[in-house]
Amino acid sequence: MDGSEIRRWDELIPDALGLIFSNLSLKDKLTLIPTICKSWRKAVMGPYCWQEIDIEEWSCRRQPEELDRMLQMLITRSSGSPRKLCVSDLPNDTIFSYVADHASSLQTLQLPGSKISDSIVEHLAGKMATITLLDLTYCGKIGARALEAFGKNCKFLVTLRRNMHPSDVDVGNRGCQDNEAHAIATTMPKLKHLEIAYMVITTEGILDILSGCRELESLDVRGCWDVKLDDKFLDEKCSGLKVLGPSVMDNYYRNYYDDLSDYSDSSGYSAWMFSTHLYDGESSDGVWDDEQRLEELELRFYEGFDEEDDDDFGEFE
Amino acid sequence: MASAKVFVLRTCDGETFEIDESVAYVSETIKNMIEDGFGHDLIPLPNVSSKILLKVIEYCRKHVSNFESSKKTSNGDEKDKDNDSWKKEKEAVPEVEKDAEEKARVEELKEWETTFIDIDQQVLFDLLQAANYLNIKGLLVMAAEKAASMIRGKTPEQIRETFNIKNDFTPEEYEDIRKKDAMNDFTPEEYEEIRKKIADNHFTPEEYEQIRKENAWAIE
Repeated sequence: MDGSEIRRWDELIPDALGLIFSNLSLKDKLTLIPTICKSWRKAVMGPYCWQEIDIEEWSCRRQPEELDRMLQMLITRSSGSPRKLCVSDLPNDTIFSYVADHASSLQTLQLPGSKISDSIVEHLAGKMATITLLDLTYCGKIGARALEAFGKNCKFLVTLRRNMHPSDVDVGNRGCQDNEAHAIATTMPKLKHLEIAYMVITTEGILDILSGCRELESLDVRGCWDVKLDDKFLDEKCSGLKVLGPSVMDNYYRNYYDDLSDYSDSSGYSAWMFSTHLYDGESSDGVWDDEQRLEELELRFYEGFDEEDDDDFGEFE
Repeated sequence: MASAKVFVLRTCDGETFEIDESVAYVSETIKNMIEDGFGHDLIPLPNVSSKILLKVIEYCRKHVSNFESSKKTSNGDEKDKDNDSWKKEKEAVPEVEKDAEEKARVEELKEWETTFIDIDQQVLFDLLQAANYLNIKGLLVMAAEKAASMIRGKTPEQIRETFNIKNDFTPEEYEDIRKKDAMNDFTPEEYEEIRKKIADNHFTPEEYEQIRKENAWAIE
């Protein structure tokens, strides 16, 4: 066992190999590892490597056929039911159906920028009952109906990210989204972490959420300019709650400005997505629990906008 | 006060090691053996050498002492006790509000870990096996990450050399694999360009063959 004997890395059991490979990039897993030796190739084609599938970066703006193919290949490798799936820009409801069909063990589902509809979510949310972390950032086609469907079917939902794009707010593309706040308030009582940056939401909507989600620990309302939260109220009614925003922090502010100058339909996504996740304790390589570590969020109490500030923001449009 | 209970482990090369209950319990396997009543005599570990067990015990002791000090500096609750918390701390962005003591603890832990896992591939291999057998999740994850770091950035040949792996593919099999698994690394725009060019047949036959080989799965 000891000494200078050769160690047979090619004979390491597949689950140990899978654990090692799960730390590697998508590209390494698909193009490098399979070329090393037969046993490594076999291990990387097997389920131990793909319980957590993260192709969020890769899938950005991919052709639908490519995305379809990659998703099918990886979900098949996971033996049909991964625990975590992160993919951006799902182009249609059909691909979402495919995901739903393999969601029986899914705990984390991240679909930023996906063009899924309310109807498909209503139809299929029942297949995703085990989800605890849901990311619907930039999903422009869904609204309160989808949120309600998720809320009603995912009884263990603890983290919801439903950030919208900053430029949409300015351009006035969206109507009031208090109905979405209401859906959250009424169907997601166990929610602990909520991100709704840049949603068109009023203080009413937030109060709705606060009264319905009594276990909320962190709330991100950066960019929700119509929300006015009183320090005193928060101290009294929800002392355990950490709130971020509505004011946008300095470094975010810079990113926002950069975003605006080269905003196009989809290129605006990435920079914001990454800056939103600046404080995300979760990493993509992990074998860990999916509960987001938001203890790092700075405590921010809204101190009230006055007219002057509004003018400042006007400058950057 | 913590229990003064002590257990004795025996390695495959006949050496014995005494450890506290809290340290022993870091290993799920040992914990189960004790709870099943096998802790009164020596606990045999036929799969683990003394050299490796020393390393394992070092990890377990650090894990216990780290948990103890984290309880003092932050509100570490019971659930932090399991091996998950160590990695979560590593990943967490150091926060402005965390007090200086807590930050220092996390920093020290990272440093300790870097030194601890700075081992050659033979010891790493044995440690992986031991962590797997003894069911010590945090150690397993740490060792796996180290192995991955030794893979990243290397060519296939370099990887085989690092880990003493023989290339057991025939040349034909190898070519086949390279063709089949080559992932489309182009950006969507570049890909569109290529698709168009192929449709308009702007490539020389050689260029076309090359591209077909590299992107077989994507284009076909």
